[in-house]
Amino acid sequence: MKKVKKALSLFMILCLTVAAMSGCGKKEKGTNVDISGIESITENTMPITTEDITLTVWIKNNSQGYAADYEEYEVVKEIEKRTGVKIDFIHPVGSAMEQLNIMLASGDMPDIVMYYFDDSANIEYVEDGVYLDLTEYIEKFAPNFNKLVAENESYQQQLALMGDTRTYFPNLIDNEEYLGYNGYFIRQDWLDKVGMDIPTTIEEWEAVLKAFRDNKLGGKNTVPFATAAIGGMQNEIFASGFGLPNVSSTCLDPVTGKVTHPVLLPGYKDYLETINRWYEEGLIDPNFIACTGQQLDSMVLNGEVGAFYYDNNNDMPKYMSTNPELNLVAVPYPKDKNGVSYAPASSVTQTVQKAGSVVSGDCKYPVEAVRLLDYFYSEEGSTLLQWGIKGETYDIDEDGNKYFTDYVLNNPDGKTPTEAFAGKYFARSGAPGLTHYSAMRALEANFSDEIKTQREASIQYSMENSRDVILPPMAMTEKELDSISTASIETSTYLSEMHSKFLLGKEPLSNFDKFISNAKKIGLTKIIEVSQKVYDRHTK
Amino acid sequence: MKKTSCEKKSSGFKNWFVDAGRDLRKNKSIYLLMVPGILFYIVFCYAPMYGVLMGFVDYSPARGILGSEWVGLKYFKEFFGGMYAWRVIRNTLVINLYSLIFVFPMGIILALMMNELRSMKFKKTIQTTTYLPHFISLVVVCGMVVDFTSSSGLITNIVNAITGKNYTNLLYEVDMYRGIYIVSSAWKNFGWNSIIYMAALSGIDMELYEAAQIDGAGKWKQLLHITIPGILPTVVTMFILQIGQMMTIGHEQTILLYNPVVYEKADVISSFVYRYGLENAQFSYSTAVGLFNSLVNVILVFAANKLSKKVTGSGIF
Repeated sequence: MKKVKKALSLFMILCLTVAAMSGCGKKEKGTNVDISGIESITENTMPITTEDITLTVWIKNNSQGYAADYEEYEVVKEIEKRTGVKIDFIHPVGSAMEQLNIMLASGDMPDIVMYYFDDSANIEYVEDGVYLDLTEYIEKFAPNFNKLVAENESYQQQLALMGDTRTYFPNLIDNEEYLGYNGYFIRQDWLDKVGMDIPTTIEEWEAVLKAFRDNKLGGKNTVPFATAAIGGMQNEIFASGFGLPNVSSTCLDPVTGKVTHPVLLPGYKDYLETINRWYEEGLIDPNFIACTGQQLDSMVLNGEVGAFYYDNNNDMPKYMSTNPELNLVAVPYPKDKNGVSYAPASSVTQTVQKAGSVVSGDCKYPVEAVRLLDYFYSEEGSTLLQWGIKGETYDIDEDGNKYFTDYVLNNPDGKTPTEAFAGKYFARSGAPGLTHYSAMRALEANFSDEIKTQREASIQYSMENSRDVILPPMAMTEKELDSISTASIETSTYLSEMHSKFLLGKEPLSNFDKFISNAKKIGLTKIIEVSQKVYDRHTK
Repeated sequence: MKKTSCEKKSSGFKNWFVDAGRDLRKNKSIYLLMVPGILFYIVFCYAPMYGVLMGFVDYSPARGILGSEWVGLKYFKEFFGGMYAWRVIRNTLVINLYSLIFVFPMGIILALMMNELRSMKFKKTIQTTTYLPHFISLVVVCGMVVDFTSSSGLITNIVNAITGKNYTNLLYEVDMYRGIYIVSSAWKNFGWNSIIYMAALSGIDMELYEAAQIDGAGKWKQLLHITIPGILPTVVTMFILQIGQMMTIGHEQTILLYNPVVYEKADVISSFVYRYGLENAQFSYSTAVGLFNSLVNVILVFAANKLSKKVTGSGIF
């Protein structure tokens, strides 16, 4: 019996070694396509190819359940027809970020990946050959993209901060207004009942919220102020009233112009003290640290909430159309003592977005892939993605302006405009290339006048926010990134933990100085130091 | 397989192979039956083990595991040198200890109680209702827990009424988190866990009970001297398996329940590894932590087995 066991274990070990060996054959990386001999193009003419080429594209399925596979979409079929490239979509199941990281770890990459990219991390992947270095490719084969950038100074500035290497095709937005998509809203009828005006400063907010609470305007479960814990929103409510742009990521010091962290700014302690007091006094939703979107929806729609901070382009219109009695009005961001409100990090998107597309280093047809992506920046290609198909989803009036047809705006099946578009044509959210701001707004053509007014006001208020202290995304070298990677994860864990504890009063504010010195020790000092170095390099 | 050639004193390799070959020929159909099992272990358990090398290199997907730069114990040092290492280890151990003390016996007790039930109908109903929660998705269970323990939740109201305190959200209370975690996982699993003991109970010879009754043993004595010794081997096996997971807590339930306020007592190794590895793409670092985790588990299994052999005379190997 013992012998058999021994033989078996020997066999196992053998198998194990074989398995290990078989894995070690070094994979051939990087494309063997030499593009130095290929002439650059001045116009990206269609079709890209007449050969039978298939590109695999990895993209999160944003169709909200309307399409199991993007290949079903009319717009995709049209793109395939015009470009001559067959596109195979791969949609991650579950958390997209998780799936992408697993994919990267396994080294098994599709030709094109469309997602959000951190340029610094991208550099590492480019150097390793996982992603294709797009610098030369864009120069030679992306005339549409280059043209857009050449005509827009803001794009150029933002791209410059990302360093000289193009690691991905960033999605572009053709209008700065899109940048503000979160806002404060308040119930006008509640304000009328307590006889108060729209609050602008922190003191006024406190008075209004107290009045809401004391008069129990929302019944037994009145919540004077609420927000949802999405994208860090719960961590920036009222921060602008204390001279803080956000509370979790590095920014510029408004006085010195140096890189700093909001927790080091003078307003931070005040902010913690105030929000904690409001929380204890019942002015803020007791569950705000982890309130989900659905929870907020039900609270607002039940008429329990007096004011909230949330996104103004989907949810506010949804609330107002579902329950017209809410009587919501947009409110300006609270201003600090100097009358300034800094735009909070989560509600600011650059016109050159973090969202975009990378090409795999394994891609067999890199030139065709780049030209396909470039097509999405052309008038024709971006119109397809943004407006759909002429005569079906949109038309052009006599002034040459595009408008959506009734199929989209007054869908016969009763779908909302976004759903109608995503149902058959394309999921506009997360679409690559150039985003037409006009198309986004045209989808709102059927909003009631009341909603349109408030939406407009909310956008205007967020446009008033100062963007002076925002630290734009900047490219770090692999060494710089490596030097702070552990520190930044530990620091962010520590900061978010302590921040929440201070807000809920689980940690007395008398420990504030200890907290700051700990945070500095853990890595805050190092992170600021490195960011300052990178910032100096890019701005000089 | 009775005493075969294996028992003979072998002299060197040659004999060894001859013996093995003879055995193989003699029992080839039995060996054939083993093949699927062995293949399973090779493909799904042994082959992926090569991935643990990731913990010792500065892993780059393009260069592959063996092509990446060898950094030795760098990531292990980083983990143990980091400020959160001992916290996550402690939390993992404490939460598992709690579940060993509170959840593990629940399945046994439930099985013993059901064993005493006379009405078949009642028994079946109890059985079904207790293991029904096992089939509810964890996401749903945790969603329910989050709702029930929020400021206006049922459980919060009950707790406030009993303690006379004024908690707003129980999941924001550091001292309550582990309790909520244990109770919710117990609710989900104790019915399911009892199944194996029910099976063991049905294997006990009824004659033993009859004999005991004639000898004048009451219910309690029967339980003590027949039922419990009867299921003890099963209990021991389950206990050892449980010990083998002392360092493991699935990240799902933790991630669905915790929030930054309770990290101090909630953050466990797997949720920590999840945040580092899958959210921040620190593959090598999280592999190193995972490997450490498994090593401790293996040591614990051996220790538990040895202990149980000493105390109860039975173990699993």
